[in-house]
Amino acid sequence: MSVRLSNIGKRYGATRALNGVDLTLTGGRVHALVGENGAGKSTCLGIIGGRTVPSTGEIELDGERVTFASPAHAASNGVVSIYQELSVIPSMSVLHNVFLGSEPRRTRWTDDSAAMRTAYAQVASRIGADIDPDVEVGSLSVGDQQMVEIMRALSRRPRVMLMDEPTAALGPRERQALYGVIAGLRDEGVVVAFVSHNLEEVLGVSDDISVFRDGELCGSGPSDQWSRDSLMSAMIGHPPQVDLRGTSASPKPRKELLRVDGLSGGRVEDVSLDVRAGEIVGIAGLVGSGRSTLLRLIAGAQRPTTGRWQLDGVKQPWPSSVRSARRQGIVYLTEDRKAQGILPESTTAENIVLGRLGPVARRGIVTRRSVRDHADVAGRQVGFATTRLSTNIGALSGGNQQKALLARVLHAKPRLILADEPTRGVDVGAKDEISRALRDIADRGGSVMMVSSEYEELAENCDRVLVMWHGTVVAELRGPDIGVDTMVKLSFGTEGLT
Amino acid sequence: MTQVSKTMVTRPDDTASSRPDAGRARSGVRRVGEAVALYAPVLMLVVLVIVASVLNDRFWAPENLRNMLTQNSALALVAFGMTLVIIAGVFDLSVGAIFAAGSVIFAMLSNEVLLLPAALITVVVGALAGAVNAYVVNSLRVNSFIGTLATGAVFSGLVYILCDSSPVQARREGFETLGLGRIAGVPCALIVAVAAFGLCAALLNGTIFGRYVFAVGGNAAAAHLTGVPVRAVRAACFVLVGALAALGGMITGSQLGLGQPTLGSNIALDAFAVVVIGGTSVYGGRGALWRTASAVLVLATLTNIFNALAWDTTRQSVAKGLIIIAAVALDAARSRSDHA
Repeated sequence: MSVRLSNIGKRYGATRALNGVDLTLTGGRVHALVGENGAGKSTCLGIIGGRTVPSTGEIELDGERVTFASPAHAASNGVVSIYQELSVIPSMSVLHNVFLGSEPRRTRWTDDSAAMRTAYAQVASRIGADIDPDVEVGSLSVGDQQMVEIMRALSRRPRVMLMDEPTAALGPRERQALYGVIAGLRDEGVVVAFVSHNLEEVLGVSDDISVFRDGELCGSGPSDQWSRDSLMSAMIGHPPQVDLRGTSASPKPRKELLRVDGLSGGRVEDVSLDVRAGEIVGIAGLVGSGRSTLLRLIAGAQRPTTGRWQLDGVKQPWPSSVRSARRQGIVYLTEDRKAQGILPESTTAENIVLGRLGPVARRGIVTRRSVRDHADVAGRQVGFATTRLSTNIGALSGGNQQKALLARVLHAKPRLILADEPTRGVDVGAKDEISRALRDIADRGGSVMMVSSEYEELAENCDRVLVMWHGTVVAELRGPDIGVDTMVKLSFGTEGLT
Repeated sequence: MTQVSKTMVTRPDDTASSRPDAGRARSGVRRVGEAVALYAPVLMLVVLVIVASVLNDRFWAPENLRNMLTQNSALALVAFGMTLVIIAGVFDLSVGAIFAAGSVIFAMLSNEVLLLPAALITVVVGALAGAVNAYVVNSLRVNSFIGTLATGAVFSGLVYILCDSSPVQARREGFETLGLGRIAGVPCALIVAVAAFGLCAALLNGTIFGRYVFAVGGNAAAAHLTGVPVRAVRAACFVLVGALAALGGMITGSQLGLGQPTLGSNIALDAFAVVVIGGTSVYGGRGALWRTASAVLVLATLTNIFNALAWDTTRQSVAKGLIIIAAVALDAARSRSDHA
C-alpha cells in the first residue's frame, strides 16, 4: 500500500495554502506531518482524504491515479480520516456514531444491529475503550468522544489512515492506547499519517517525519534523523530560542492572593489551595479528573456546593457569577475557543476589548479608533501582530485566535488568570509566545492557574503543579520535583502506580 | 483503573467541551427527570383525558371520540412530516400553503377526472412543492426558516391564482369519503393518519435513512464528513412533508366538500406546536414520532375541553400560544443542561 503525491498545490483566492508538494507515504510506516499552524499540513491531509480538492497535482493510490470528490468517496477507497475538530453527532448513541455512514446492512434500507454490536465489541477491545455503546456521545468527555471518532475510523478497515491532531483531546492513558493502535495498523501494512504539535509524540511514534513551512514541504526523512531542535528549526526556519523558564524561577516567598478551602462542586471534592502573587500554578490530571471544573468554580462560572474564599487574606462570599469574579480581578480563559471564546464575525480588536469596554468608551461611545488602540496595547503583551487587529478573528489561525483571547484576558487587567488548555491545538511559535506572555505576567506580579494535558508544558512553565485525581488534589509538586513522569504516575491515582 | 474509566462515561454537567462532572447521586435524579421528559406528552394526555372526562360527560361517547380523531387527522399528517423535518434540523413553514393547495387542486381535479388519479396527482404536486423547498434550502443555501416562509407565500399566491381566489365546489360524488367516510366503522381519515404514522415511524426508526435524519439534525457538518448524504436526506424530508401536507389538505377539503385557498393558515403553527409539545428538539437531532402522535391527541383533547368550557377560538388561540411557549422553553432548558 502506498500513497504518492506529486506537485500537489492548493490555492484559496490569492493565498497559497500548499505549493508543489511531492510526498510518498508507504504502508508499514508511520508518517508524521509537522509544521506551524497554516503551514499546510492539515490541507495536505485534507487533500489525500477527499475533503479538499487540490488546485494542482496528482494523487496515486498504489500507482493508480485517484481524485476523491468527498470524504465518503475517499473512505470507500479505504482512505479514512480523523479530523481535527470532532465530527461526532452528540445526540446519537456511541454505537450509531461509530457506524454512521458505513452501517453493516441487512437489506438496502435497514442495518444489521447484531453485526454492528459484534463489530463494536471488536473495535472497542482493539483500542481498549470501555465505553457503553448505548449512551449518547454528547454525554461523554471530549477524550472519549475522540475515542469514538477513532473507533469509527478503525471500523472502516482503513488502508490509509489520516489523523489530524488525534491526541490533542486525549489523556495520557488514551494516548498510549492510540499509540498501540497505530503500531498495530503499521504492522498490518496500513499507511498511517498524522499531524501533531507534540514533538515528543512525533519523535516517539513515527517512522518518517515531514516538515511543512509556509505551504511547502521543507524537509522529510526517517525520524531517527530528526531531533526536537532540528524539527523546531525546520518548522520556524531558524534555530529556536532556548531557555523558556529561564531567569524567573525565583524561590522567594510571595504574598498570598487567593486561598480556597473545602471547595466542592460538580466533580471537585474538598479541594483546598492557595495562589500567590507572581506564581504560575499548573493543574495536572486525567481528562475527567475535575481540572476544568476547578477552574470554572473559581471563575464563578459554576456554583460550588461548599467552599470558603479568601482574597488578599480577607474572607469573602464565593463569587456568584463570572462578573463578580472578574470584578475581583479573576479572569477565566476558556479551553473551547471556537464555541466559548471568539466572536468569529467580529474583528480581532473588537474581540480583544470585549470583556472590558468601560475604558474603551468615551461618554458611552465606542469608536473604532479607541477599540484599536486599546486592543493594540493588550495585543502587544502577547506578541500579537498589530496589522491583524482589523481582520475578522474567525479568519485567523488557531494560534493567533488563542493569542487574541489571551490579550482579551489581559485587557481585563486580571490579578489571577485561570487558563484552561491555553495552548491546545496551536503551533509551536504561538505556544512559545503564549508561554512567554504568561511568564511575563507572573514576573510582573500577576498570578496564573493553568490546566494542560501536555505535561511537558506544565514542567516548563509552572512554579508549582497540583495533580488532580477523581476530583481531589492528590499531590503538590514544586520546582525541581515537577517531572513529567511523576505527574503521569500521580494522575492515575494510587491505582495507576506500579 | 476500572474506576477511572467508569467515571469518564458519566454525564457532563457543564459545557459540552469540558469534563464530565455529574456526581453519581445526581444521575439518579437526572434519570427520573429524563423519564418524565420522555413521557411528558403521554402524562399530559392522561391528565387531560381525566379532566375532559370530568368536564364533558359525553367525552367517552363513540361519536365524540370519532369526531375528535377525524378532525385532527389532517393535522396529524402534517405534524408527522414536520417531525422528520425538524429532527433533520430544518423547518418547513410552507406546509400551510401546500395544505391549501392540496384541498384546491384535489377539488379541481376531481371535477375533471376520477377521484383516485386526482388524489395521486395532488399528492405528487405536494411532493414537488417539497422538492422546490429542498432546492431553495439545499442549492440556493437559503436558511430554511426564511426560505420556506417565502416559498409558502409563492405557493399560496399560485393557489389563489389557480382558483381565482374563490372556493372550489367539489361536484364529484364520493368526494367527502376521504374526510368523512368510514370503513368498518373506522373513519377513513383516521386510517390514513395511522398509515402515515406507520410509514414515518418505520422510516425514522427502522431504516438507515432514519438514522441519517437524526445525524443530519444532530450535526450536519460532522454527518457530511462521515459520509452521510446531508442534502439528499433533507430533500427527502421536505418531499415527504410536502406530500403529507397536500394529503392533509385533501382530507380537510373533503370534509368541507370544497377546495378552499384560505385553509391551512394555522396548520403550520399547530403542527409546530404538536411537534414541540411532543418534545422534539427545535435544535434538531432529537425527537420521536410516537410522542408527536401523543401530542396530537393532547391538542385534540384540549380543544375538546375548551369546547366543553364553551371557550371560543380567540381564547383557544391564546391558550395554544402559551402552551407552545411553555413547550419550547422546556426544550431550551433541557438542551441547556445538556450542552451549555
